[in-house]
Amino acid sequence: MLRPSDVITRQEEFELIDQILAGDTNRYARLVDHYKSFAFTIAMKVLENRAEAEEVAQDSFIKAYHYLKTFNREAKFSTWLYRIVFNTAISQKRKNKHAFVSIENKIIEYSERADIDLEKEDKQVFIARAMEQLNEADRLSIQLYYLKEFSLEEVADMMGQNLNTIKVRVHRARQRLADELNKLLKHEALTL
Amino acid sequence: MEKVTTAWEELLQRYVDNDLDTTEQRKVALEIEKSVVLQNRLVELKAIHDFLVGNAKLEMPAKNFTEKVMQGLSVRPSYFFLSPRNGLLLLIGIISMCSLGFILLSAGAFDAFNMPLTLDPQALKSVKINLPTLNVSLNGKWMMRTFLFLNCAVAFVLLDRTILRPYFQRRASM
Repeated sequence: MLRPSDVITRQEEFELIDQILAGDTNRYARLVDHYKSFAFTIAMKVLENRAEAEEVAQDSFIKAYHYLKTFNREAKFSTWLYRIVFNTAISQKRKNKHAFVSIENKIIEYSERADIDLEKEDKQVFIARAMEQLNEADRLSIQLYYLKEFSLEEVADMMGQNLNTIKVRVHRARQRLADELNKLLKHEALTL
Repeated sequence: MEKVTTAWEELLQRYVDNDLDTTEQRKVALEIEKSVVLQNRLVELKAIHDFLVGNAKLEMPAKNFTEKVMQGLSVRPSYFFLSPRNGLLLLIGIISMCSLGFILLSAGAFDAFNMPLTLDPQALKSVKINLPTLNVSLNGKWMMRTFLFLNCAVAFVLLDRTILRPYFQRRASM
């Protein structure tokens, strides 16, 4: 089970937030240490660029710090923080003009080059390639869901979408990946 | 079964996720045993599931990540709606327009523009209150001066928010 580096209870988290709001800025380092890998992973999933993801994750922590007063304690701090990370990463992606291009219906072609490559590459590589062809929102939904730390509700909250939409996205993404794998298996059977 | 139906697709995904109760699980397992189509689909879905589980690893940022964040806390991020580049372009536009306005103003281009404006309440038939007739003189020179003054104020705000403040904040955080 994937978990942040060390365990921190919700009560402890609220105490830390109180201390930070009271002016003990250094306590924020504990929260950063605790959530940095998840924040960075989310940014990486969106941006697919290490340097940019790191910058976005850092900016998100700084934003979260400045808006800590507005944090509603009914929600989990992590969900609130990850939503900031997600939105900052999406804004960065839009700035980069690698916009949300819907390529949902794009067909993965089996070129001659691909035939040669497929002999060398295993199914994993093919699935990874099929993942890249997914609609971006579907890809992010499934990747965040499989991080296991997040429930479907949390993924929905983080992405600012309806729970049912996320359920559909996860279902559709898996279905499409399985369809692509099916095509590959049929293709391999024909070339044997 | 020749093709996996939507209902079966969902059941198989829940089966892979271990999201079915014991009875449902048993029923689905029995159906899978009977159908080659379902067996094949299950193989595909399991491969996808295994791939996604295998790839669900946390990425670790650089070692000095926390340190960098802590250093950045003292700098309040600027959330002005314009980027420095767009701010600079707008500033250049305003300065050019103001310069042109000042040249025209100093050349006396607006000296002749002087229009008296009379507001007569009698003209408004619906108004039954007795109001005095209002005479306002519109002076082109003063109008232009006010306009230029407002533009200079906007230019100053732009200079501060989009160029100077981000620049000094960046310097302070270095």
